Amino acid sequence: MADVDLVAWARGLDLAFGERRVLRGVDADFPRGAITCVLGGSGSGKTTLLKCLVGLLAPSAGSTALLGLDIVRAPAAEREAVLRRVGMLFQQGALFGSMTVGENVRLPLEQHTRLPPALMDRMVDLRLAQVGLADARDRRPSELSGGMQKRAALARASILDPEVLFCDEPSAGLDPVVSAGIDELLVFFARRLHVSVVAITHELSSVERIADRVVMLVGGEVIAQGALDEVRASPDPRLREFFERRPPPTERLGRPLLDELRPRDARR
Amino acid sequence: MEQLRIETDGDTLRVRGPLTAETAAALWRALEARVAEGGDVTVDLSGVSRLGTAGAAALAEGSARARAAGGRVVVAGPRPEHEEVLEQVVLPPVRPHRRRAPFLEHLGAGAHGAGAALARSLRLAGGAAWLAIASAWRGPRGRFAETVRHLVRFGSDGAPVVVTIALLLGLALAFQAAYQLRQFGASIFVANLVALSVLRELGPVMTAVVVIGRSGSSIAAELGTMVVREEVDALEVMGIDPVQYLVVPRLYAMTIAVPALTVFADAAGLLGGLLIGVTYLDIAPQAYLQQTLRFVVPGDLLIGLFKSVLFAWVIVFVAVAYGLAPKSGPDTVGRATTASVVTSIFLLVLVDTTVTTLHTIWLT
Ligand SMILES: Nc1ncnc2c1ncn2[C@@H]1O[C@H](COP(=O)(O)OP(=O)(O)OP(=O)(O)O)[C@@H](O)[C@H]1O
Ligand SMILES: [Mg+2]
Repeated sequence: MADVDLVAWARGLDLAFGERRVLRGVDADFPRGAITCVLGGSGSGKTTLLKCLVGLLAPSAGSTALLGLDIVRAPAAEREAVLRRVGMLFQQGALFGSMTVGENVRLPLEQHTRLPPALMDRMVDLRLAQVGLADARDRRPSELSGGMQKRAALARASILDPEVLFCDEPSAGLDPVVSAGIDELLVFFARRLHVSVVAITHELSSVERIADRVVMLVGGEVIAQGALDEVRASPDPRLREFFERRPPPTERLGRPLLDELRPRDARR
Repeated sequence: MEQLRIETDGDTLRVRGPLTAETAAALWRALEARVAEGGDVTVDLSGVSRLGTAGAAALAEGSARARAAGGRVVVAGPRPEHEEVLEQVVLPPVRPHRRRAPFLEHLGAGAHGAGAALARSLRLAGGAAWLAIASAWRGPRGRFAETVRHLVRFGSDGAPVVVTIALLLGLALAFQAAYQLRQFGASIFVANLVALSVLRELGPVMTAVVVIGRSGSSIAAELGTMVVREEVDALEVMGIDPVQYLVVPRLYAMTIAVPALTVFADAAGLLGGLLIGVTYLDIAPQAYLQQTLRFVVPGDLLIGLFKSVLFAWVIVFVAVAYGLAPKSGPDTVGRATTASVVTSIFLLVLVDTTVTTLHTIWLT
C-alpha cells in the first residue's frame, strides 16, 4: 500500500464547530522525508486540519492516520507511543508559562529519554542556539517577544528529532532574516535529520524556499495538492489569487455601495 | 469643528460639511424619516467636504430601508474621492446583528443551565477521579520536586491563616458554651464540648473551606489558563498524559497538606477553648486539660483526619474537573473557577454530613 511512504494522511475529513463546517471532505497526503506546506487564507481550516492529524480534534466523518495509527480511535497507550515520535509547533507557541524557556525545551527529553542530565543540558543549549535564542534560556516565555516565543516553541517541538514535525506558521511574526533562518533550519531537519515536516504558512517566499509539496485549502476544502510547480501552474482562479497575491474580486465580498446609490440613468 | 448642514429641497437632501462619525447621525435621522414613507430620496453630496465610513454606513442603511419600503436612495454630485469611498465600501449579504441577552433572559438561561452544569461537573469529577487514582498507582514519575512545591503552596503557606481562624473559632465556641453551661454550674464541660466539636467537625471542615478558597480555586484557574493557552494540548501532543503530569503531584500534595493543616487547626481550636476556660471561667489549666484528655478518645481525632483526607480528594478532583474542562477564552476560566469553589463547598458539606451520620449510627 502507498501508506508506507506517508507519515500522515486524511481521507474524507469533515469537521464542524456547531453550525460552521470548517473541514469539508479533506483528502491530503503527507509523504515521508518531504516538507509539505499547507497553504490557504486565514480561516481556511489549516490549524484545524493539523489538530485533526495529531488527534486533538475528532472529525465528525472521515479518517486520518499518523505514522500508520488511527490516532483518534487508538487506545491511549498507543496514541502516546506514536506521539512521542511527533513534534508540534502550535500557532500561539503554547509554551508552559510556569517554566523557563530552557525547561520547556528540556521537558520532552526528561519525559521520554533516560539521557544523563548533562547531555540534556547540552542538547537544550544547542537547539536554542540553532533557533537564535542562546541568551533566552533562563527567561520565562512571558518575557519574550512573539517571534522569540515562536522560535522557543520550535526548539521544544524539534528537540527529540521527531519523525514528523508539524509547524503551525513557523515564521509568522518574524523579521525576514530570522524567518529565512527558520526556513533553513526546517530544510536541515528534513534533509539531515530525516524529519518529515508539515508546515502551515502564508509566506510565499518561504514556500518557495522549503516546499517539496503543497496542499492548498480554501474554505475547508483541498483544492489542489502536489509538487509546488504543478500547483502553481494550475489555472484555478483561487490559486492564481493566492500566488499572485491579488485580493479576490469584490463580487464575492458584496456589491460596491456606489452601484447601489447611482441614479438609474447614470449607470455605467 | 466644521458643521454639517442639511437642506431639504423636495425629494433632495443637500448635505454640506464633513460626513464623518461625529456628524453622520444627523444625515441618518433626516434619511430615516423620509425612506420609511417609500419613494425616492436623492442625497446631494456635492457640498460634502469629507466622506467617512460612518457617512457611507448612513447611506447604506438608508438605501436598504428605502428598498424595503419600495423606494431608493441615490446620490447626486459625488466628487471623485467620494466615489472612491463608495466603491470600496461593499454591501455584504445582510445578517441581523446578534445582541447580548438582556439580564432577565440571562438569569432564566442560567437557572435552566444549572442542573445540567451540576450533572456535567459530577461526571467530569468522576472521570478525573478515576484517571487520577489509576495514574496515582504509577507514582509521580520524577515529579517529586513538583509535589513538594505544591505541598509548600497548599500546606505551609496556608498554615498561618488556618491556625488563626481555628483559634478564633475555638474562642467563640467556648464563649457560647461557657455562657450556657455556667448557669447550670457545669462550666468544666466546656472542655468536652470544645474538644468534640473541634476535633470531629470544626477543625476538618474549616480547614477544608480555607483550602478550597486558597488552593482549590488556584488549581482550577491555573489549569484553566493552561487549557486556554493550549498548553494542555501541547502536553498531549508530546505524548505526556496531562492527568498524570498535572494532577497526580497536586493530588499527593493535597492528600498530605489537608490532614496536616487539620492537625494544626485542631490544636489551635483546643487552645482557644483553653484560653476561655482559664480567663473567663477561672478553670485551672491543668484541670481543663485533664478534663479534655479524660473525655476525648483517639477515635475523635481519627474520624476528623479521615474526613480531611476525603475533603482533600473532593477539592482536587472538583478543581481539576473544572480546570481541565474545555474553555473558549479567559471569561470561561473565571466562570469555571467560581463554579469549582461552589461545587467543592457543596460536596464538602455533603461528604461531611454523610460521614457524620454513618459514624453516629455505627457508634450507637
Ligand atoms: N474552537 C473553535 N470553535 C469554533 N470555531 C472555530 C474554533 N477553532 C476554529 N474555528 C473556526 O474554524 C475556521 C478555521 O479555523 P482555523 O484555525 O483552522 O483557520 P486557519 O486556516 O488556521 O487560519 P489562520 O491562518 O488565520 O490561522 C475559522 O472559521 C474559525 O473561526
Ligand atoms: Mg491557524
